[in-house]
Amino acid sequence: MSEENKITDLKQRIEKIEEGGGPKAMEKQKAMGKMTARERIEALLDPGTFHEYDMFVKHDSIDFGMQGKELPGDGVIIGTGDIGGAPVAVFAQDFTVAGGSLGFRHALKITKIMDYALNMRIPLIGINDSGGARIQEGVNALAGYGEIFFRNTLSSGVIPQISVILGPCAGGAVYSPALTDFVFVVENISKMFITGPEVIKTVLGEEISAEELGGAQVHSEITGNAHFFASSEPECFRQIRDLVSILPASNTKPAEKIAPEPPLQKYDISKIVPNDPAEPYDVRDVIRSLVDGSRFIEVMELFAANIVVGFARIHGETVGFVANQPMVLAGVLDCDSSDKAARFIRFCDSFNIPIITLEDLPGYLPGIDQEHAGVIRHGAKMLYAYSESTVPKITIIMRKAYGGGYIAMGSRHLRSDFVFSWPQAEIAVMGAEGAANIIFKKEITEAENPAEMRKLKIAEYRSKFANPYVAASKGYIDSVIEPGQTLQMIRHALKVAATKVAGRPAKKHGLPPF
Amino acid sequence: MTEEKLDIMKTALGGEYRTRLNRFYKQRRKWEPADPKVILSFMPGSVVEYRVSVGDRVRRGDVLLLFRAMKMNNVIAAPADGVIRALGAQVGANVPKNAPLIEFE
Repeated sequence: MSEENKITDLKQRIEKIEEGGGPKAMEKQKAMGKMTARERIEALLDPGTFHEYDMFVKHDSIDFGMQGKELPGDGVIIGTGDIGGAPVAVFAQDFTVAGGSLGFRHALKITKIMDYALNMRIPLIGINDSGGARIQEGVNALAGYGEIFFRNTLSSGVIPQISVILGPCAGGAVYSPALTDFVFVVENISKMFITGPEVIKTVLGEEISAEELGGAQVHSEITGNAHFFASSEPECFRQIRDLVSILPASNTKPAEKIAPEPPLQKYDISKIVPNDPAEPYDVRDVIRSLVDGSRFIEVMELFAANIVVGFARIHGETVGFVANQPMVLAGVLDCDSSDKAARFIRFCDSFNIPIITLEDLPGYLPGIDQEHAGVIRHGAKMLYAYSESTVPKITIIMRKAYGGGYIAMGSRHLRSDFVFSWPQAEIAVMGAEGAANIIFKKEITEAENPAEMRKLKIAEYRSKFANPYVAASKGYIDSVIEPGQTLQMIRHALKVAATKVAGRPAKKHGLPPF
Repeated sequence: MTEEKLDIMKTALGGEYRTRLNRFYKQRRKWEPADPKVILSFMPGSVVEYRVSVGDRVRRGDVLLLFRAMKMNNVIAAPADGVIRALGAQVGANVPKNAPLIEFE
């Protein structure tokens, strides 16, 4: 073959592999409302930056009629490319090739790009669209999953890992996404479960659709397995690009600093939080009033919405927010909101992102279901996460800080570096009504007019304790500030804490109350 | 060897398995989809005020009522477009968790 012919030959080989499962299978993929694996990579990365590896890899299984069967790329595409000019590692399963099933070579391609990502300290993005293990390959397919899980675990806290669920992801396959930092799902396309509707019907006799069992809405709202919900694939890829751009590429490198921008004028912090402690508001508006361009990337928007977590920039630098949301369930802490906050705090700490806590909560959610669901161990995760984290931590007590909630929400006692309070804050061990009933029980029951006495004692307790000055007199609060001074205080605190050195006793690893 | 009377469990692998079932498994309730036509109280509390009346046509996101619980007047909004069929609670009266607050047509 002449050199020219060799190049033509190469081009033909590439063309053949890029066809994936062939035009028919591609059409079927599109008929399901799904993009093809290559279109997805194109939509995710900066145009023209994708570089593919292991294109010519072939499976070597011979059992059950697999010998000689052509599976282009073995059903997965791997490579590197850019997002906003910064390199990332990507794999995308191709459903048109043997249903994207995971065989041993397919898994080896994935683990190869995972090793690249870890060694090069760049983010990993995995696009999942697979019918599951390639059963013809037996235990080799299972070995493949295991190798992936192991690498997910090793990479955890070193590079950001993102999973995108764009099709079925069932059985063992779900555990790779579960081990990654952020899971993206798309309405009507994503399906995740350990055992599918058919098995549930066989074993338990219960009928449920795949969508109701493990669709995008379910994982975003009920299970908390997904972190970002989109109504279309293009929207999903925009979300991923926004997230990757605000995160550091690894735990050894800070996130890129961009030109600072003021918050939008329409968010006036002194007008968002109502004076009446019983009036709800959207705490995300408070966040928007503080951050560059009022742009806030919310993580797990639909799950445990009584707490808000997410990323934004202050003076061009990435910060993480943890905020009680009075608009949902009065902003209480419960099992799910504790889990959500704890995981987010640990992500920020792993990747050196300062944490800003906005506090306004009536306490923990009372209830038999909460107690039986283990609110003790779930709630403890948050205490653990705050205590363990050594990144700069700044807490603003805006309104209510009662009981265990006061301690849990980034208090001085869990080593927040700066704790500021607004003058309208109520910091106490419990609400005035409850406290007065206990402390002044005798006075109230023995009074001529118990109702009148109760009112009097509630007022007494409130004026004495429902303010920030008792906590400030002990040094638990550094400053009592006007709401309008909040951003200035945060910016100064971030500057001071930028060179923070904080240690932990040497250990193999701690034991968070998982 | 101790003899123990074991329960029978169907498994995903097909067939039946002799094993001991725990309390959670035995007390499991059959899954039922939530009724989209009813809004239930998320915890004990009281209705401060209804912002809609029977027969009103509402759009998704419209405020339906204020519900007092956890020291807060919680805003309850319409999860979808619909027509109000009934107001479930008396204003000011305490209701338990999962009490119907609004029913849609």
